[in-house]
Amino acid sequence: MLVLENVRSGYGQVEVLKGVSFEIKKGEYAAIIGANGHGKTTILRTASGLLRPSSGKVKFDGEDITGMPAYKVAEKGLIHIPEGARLFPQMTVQENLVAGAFAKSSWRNKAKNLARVYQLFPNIAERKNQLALTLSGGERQTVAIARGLMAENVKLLMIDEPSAGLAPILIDEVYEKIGEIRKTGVGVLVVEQSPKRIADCDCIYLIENGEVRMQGSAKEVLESKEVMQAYLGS
Amino acid sequence: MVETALLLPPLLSAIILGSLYALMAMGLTLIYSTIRILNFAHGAFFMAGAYIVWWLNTPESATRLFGTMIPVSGLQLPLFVAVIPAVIIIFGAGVVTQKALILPLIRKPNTLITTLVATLALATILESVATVIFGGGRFSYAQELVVGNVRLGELIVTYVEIIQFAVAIGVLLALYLFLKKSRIGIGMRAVAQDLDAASLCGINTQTVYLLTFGIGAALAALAGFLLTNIIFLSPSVGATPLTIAFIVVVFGGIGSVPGTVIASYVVALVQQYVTLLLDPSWGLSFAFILMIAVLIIRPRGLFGFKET
Repeated sequence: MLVLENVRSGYGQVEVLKGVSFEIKKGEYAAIIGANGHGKTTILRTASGLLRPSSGKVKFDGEDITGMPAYKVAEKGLIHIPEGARLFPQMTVQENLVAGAFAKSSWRNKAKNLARVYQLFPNIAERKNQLALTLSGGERQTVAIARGLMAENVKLLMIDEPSAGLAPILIDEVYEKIGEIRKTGVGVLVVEQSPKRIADCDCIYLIENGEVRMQGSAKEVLESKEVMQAYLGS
Repeated sequence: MVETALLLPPLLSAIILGSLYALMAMGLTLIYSTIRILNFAHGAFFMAGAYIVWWLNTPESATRLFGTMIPVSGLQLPLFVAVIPAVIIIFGAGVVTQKALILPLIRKPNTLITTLVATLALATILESVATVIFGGGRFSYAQELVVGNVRLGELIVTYVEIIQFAVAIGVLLALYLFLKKSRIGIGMRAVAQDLDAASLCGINTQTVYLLTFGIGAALAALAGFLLTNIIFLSPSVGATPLTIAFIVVVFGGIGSVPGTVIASYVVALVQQYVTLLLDPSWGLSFAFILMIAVLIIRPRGLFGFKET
């Protein structure tokens, strides 16, 4: 579904990704882990078109999307939910959701998709007329995920650090929602700093210094000495 | 001591004038809050819109006039018809400006200054073009938009003033609904509040920029048409409205839509009462002094909020 082939990317002169390759299959639940500053977010930003790779290829659903502008990538059904939710602070919850349906094909069905999203996340339905800036951290994260789901034909949801800054009980809630989304057949790729809570992933990639250091099933990766080293130092 | 009866007419003028200021300033606010640039060509769009209406409306025959390069249209469209193509043409000019002038500068460093200088240059060029075509003289529309007035007790309100007020408020309300409900309007607000998040929602930010600049310019053209019914037209006619619009925008809190509306009425009130109590020439200066005083206490203006 999402394929990166030897992708190099970064900011200006600073190269963050030094040849990243991986493939996430249709409907798969994958995770990217690694310490801060090693390129996890840059992978998502390059895949979603916010950054243009300096070399390498990005393919989605069989199509080459390398260098495609972000709005077109989103229209293809590859949805990136940035770190910190990044809601539109001066817009209500419902307006935020509606903004997620901006693409013409999504706009036509926005009423239907609003109903679907509110059904999936009843707690934000109660807050639909509240300004986004008044929401708690957990609510913000939920609205950000819901906004991503307002796009018609979402195929893969890439969520950057859904647990950042949240209390443990709220993190559980967010991951419960992710579980519910997976049941609808949408693939999910989460980026996490910590290896907790991703034990049920189909596949985990450990990123180190802009490269894929290790990949494999959740069990293989989480119990490996590489992960031990990355997180505990040795 | 000024009699109470004398205090009412300026209040009425301030309400009418304030609505026109809001219409003018809203274009600047939209462009700043969405594209993050200060458009110094806003006054030139005001002027150009007013000239296009004059050109389509003037009863002069298609012979040379005022040493013009191009003949007058001879179309003699009624003013309220002529305003429609004028606003559309300036909308298009705004789109072209964004595409050809702003876009090449906006992804490079120092955008605020480079675009400021570029729009200032555009304003100067448009003024020169107007001077070459129409000459430097002052003229006004050949006829009044509507003739007549109504009396409200002691107050006299002309039909022109009523139309100015109604059109300004009507357009501002339509703009509010557009920003609140329409697909493009929601896209504009999203781009204004978080550019990256907006792109990730599938919003084509370049298209939003083009439309925003077009709408902003069109609002200036409409304000130019409305005001030219009561002031003289000349190539530099946009300078004062531009200054007022900047006072209003900064005073209200740069980028804030409600701040722009409220500050428009405050500035108009100050101007009108200073004119009554002191002297007309002091009106604008006092509006400036008030703005500076407010900025010392609230550097972001009345309704400004921190940028994230």
